[in-house]
Order: sequence, then C-alpha cells, then structure tokens
Amino acid sequence: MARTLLIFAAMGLVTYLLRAVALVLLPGRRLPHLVERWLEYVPAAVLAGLASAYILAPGGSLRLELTSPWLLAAVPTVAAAAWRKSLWLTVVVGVVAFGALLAAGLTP
Amino acid sequence: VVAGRRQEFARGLAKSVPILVGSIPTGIAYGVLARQSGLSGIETVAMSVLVFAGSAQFVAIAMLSAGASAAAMVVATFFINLRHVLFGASLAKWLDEVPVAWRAALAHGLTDETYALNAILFTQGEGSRWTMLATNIAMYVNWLAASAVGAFAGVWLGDVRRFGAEFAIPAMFIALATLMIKDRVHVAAAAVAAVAAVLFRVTLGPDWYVVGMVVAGASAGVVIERWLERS
Repeated sequence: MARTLLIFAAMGLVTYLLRAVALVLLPGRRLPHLVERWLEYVPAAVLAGLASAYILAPGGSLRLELTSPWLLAAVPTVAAAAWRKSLWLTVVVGVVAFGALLAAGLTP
Repeated sequence: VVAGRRQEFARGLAKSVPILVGSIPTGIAYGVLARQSGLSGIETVAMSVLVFAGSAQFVAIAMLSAGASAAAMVVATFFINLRHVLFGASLAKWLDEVPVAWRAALAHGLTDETYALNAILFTQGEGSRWTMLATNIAMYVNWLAASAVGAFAGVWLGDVRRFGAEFAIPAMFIALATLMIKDRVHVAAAAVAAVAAVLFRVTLGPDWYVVGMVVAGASAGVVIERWLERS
C-alpha cells in the first residue's frame, strides 16, 4: 500500500512538472518568431487531430467501415457544428446520435 | 471586480460541462479496471488524486499488474505526459499578466480536455485565470468522483459506455475545431494533423500520436504560411 502510493506520488510529481515547466517559465518572455508562429497552429492541430483519431481510429484500430457508430455519429455532429457553431448543440447532437446508433446495435 | 471574477468562474464551469460529461465514462472505466487489476478502492482513488492524468493511469494499472518496477512506471508517465509541455507553451502567451504562483497552480489541471477548452476561450477573448481555474477544478473533482464511482460501485453499473456519453469528447473537439480554424493556413494545419493523428494512432499508440500529430500539423502550418508569404 505505502509503496504503491509512493509510486503514484512520483508519477504525479512528474506529471505536474511537465505541465508546469512551460506555463511557469515562458510567460513574459519573447520566444523566437518562428516558434511563436509554430505555437499559433498547435490548438487547431490538437483539436482536429484528437477529433479525427477518436472518430476514425477509436480504441486504436482503423474503423473506416460505414457501420462504425463513431464515423456515422460524426456526420450529424459536423453538420451541427458547421450550422450553428454552438458547443452545446454540437455535443447534444453527437451524444444523442451515438447513443441511438449503439441502441440500434452497432458495435462501438 | 469580485462580480467579474465570479462571472468568469461561472462561465468556466458552464463551458466545462461537455468535457465533464465526456470524461465520466472514462473515469468510471478507470475505476473498474483498477479494481479488477488488484488495486484497493483507496489506492484506485489515490492514483486519481495524485496523478490526474487519464492515459498515464490506465498504463500504470497495466504495468502494476504486470509487476513493473517503480522506475519504469515513472519513466512511462514522463513519456506519456510529455505532450503537456507543448500545451503549456501554447497557453503561455495568454498568461503574461498572471502572477507566477497562479500559473503554478493553474498548471496542475492542464489535461488534454482543459487545454483544448482554454485555448479556445483565450482565443475568443473569453478566457482568464478565473475561467481556467474553474475548468481545472471542475475537471479534477469530476475525475475523482468518476474514479470513485468506478472503484466502489462499478460492479452494479454494468457497461456505462452504452449510453453514448463517450461521444461528448469528440463532439466537443469537432465544435471547438470549427471555432479555432481562422483562415486557410489553419485549415491546412488541421487537415495535416487529422491525417497524421490517424496514422500515428494506429502505429505509435495512444500516447505518442498526440505529439506526432501536433508536430506534423503545426509544422505544416508554418511551412504553408512561409510559402504563401513568398508567393
């Protein structure tokens, strides 16, 4: 028990330091112009990449078949996002569509 | 000023709801798996309290039950969470005016989901230290509660994934991506990252693909930007 908790504490410390290093040290400093331009594209890359991996490779294996509930639920979700740009509407449409597809018997 | 802080904190909580709902099935699944692999209920929740990093915790469960050494688990955590350095660097420019003790506190809650949400809020001019604090606290409490439900009540719940709540996370990423993409260079960077994400997800696995897709997408953005400037 004590040994396990010590391991978890060490894991937590490493995780915290990784999260803190840039956030604590960088603000107020000027980065090279090229690095700043690079960081400008990080959020778009993170969002598009995470969404794409979730939908096209859920659980880590490629799912491009038309019976994948991830792929099918993404269709109305993308449409909702493009239509209203509303976070709430998009999430509700996605969850309802995905839930309905699972209820219909598709394998997640 | 106090009313402003309260409003910002409340807005942060309201904007967090999709990532909270989406993380509940993951937290419960973590709790159930941790118990099945032999951790006690207390240990299961303690890992969420101390580590607060979904994929590192899943890997730790697998490593523990395979009898891995403490050093191996800490090193694995380092590599799995290395992507958070990039997230911190990306948010840093919004926190120039924020005192260092605040930044040190905000760093605790920098997960994939809170990063994505806060990057958008800052870009849209809706972000502040208070909205970020609210997203972090909400996500932490939610993660602890979901882990505890999985650890102590998991057997009665059955498969919580069947309700579709899991899709809240990709749906939120889709909605945020449409808000984030400002011009054609962002579109190109997002498209390269989307393709790279799938390629790296199936080859590099669940932890390294994030670094791969960010490097590919952001580098493509810079290269295309330079190329457009020259032509």
